[in-house]
Amino acid sequence: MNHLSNITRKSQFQTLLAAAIVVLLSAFTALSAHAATLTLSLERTSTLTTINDAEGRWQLDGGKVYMGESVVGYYTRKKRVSFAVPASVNKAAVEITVIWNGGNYTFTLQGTQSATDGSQVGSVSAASAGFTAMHNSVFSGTTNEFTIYY
Amino acid sequence: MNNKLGIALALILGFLLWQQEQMRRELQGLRATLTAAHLPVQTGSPAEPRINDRELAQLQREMAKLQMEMVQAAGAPPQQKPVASPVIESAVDAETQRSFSPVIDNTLALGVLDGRAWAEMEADVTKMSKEENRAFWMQVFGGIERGELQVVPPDENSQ
Repeated sequence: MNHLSNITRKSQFQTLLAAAIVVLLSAFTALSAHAATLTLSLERTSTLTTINDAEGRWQLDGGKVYMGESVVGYYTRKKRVSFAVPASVNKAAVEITVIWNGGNYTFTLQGTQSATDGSQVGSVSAASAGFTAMHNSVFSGTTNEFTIYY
Repeated sequence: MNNKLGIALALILGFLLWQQEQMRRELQGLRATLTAAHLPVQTGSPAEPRINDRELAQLQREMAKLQMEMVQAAGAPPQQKPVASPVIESAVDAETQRSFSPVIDNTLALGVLDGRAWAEMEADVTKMSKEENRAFWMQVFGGIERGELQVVPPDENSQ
């Protein structure tokens, strides 16, 4: 009888232990799982310039960076189209550097842009010391708007 | 990171459920032994096994609930199409309300982010750890989004 009672107590203890582990792990996971996002919009204010060469073409532009209605900085973007990339792939390399309004806050996004639908994907490839949170962050979006998951 | 935690959690839960099942089998075996020996079986008062079953069911419900919370807490996948406006996850609002250096706190309290404000905060911002820097920007972006911080663009004379 004592044996049965011991087993029951052991079982109840294990149940409590399991519940405690689940709660702790869930809390830890919830804390670390928050993916903050930052969505920025681009407004071109310079002339979109295309430079053709034997290998492909450059496309350059720049303008303002908005967060909502606020101008938080400026961007400079260059796209590289290579004739080596077949039309079926139809993608160009893209690099966007965001220069913040003040101080030395900058970060650069690198990735690809689809010429088919304009979608862009990539990651933050460089960031100033003030933007370490952006290191290794991915982004996705369109020509005029992208979201960084940091 | 989340995948690894999820796998670890699943393994632990699986192990615990397996242990629970083993315990039940052990109890059943013991009951069978006692019955065969014509000894009074404690299941004559079936409260204990019912309690165990209830606890097990409750634990399973809690697990399912917590798993749902984990999925929700994981937020949007990286390649999800972005929304049209600036988004700071509302779930992390509490995390963004924290204190930084006096210079930063004072600057943010003033509510105006002009070139001077950015420059004044920079020395302290660049010293931050990645996590602290993330919290700082979440607070700044959240403040801009809510209209608590006003961003003043610089003089726009072209270079």
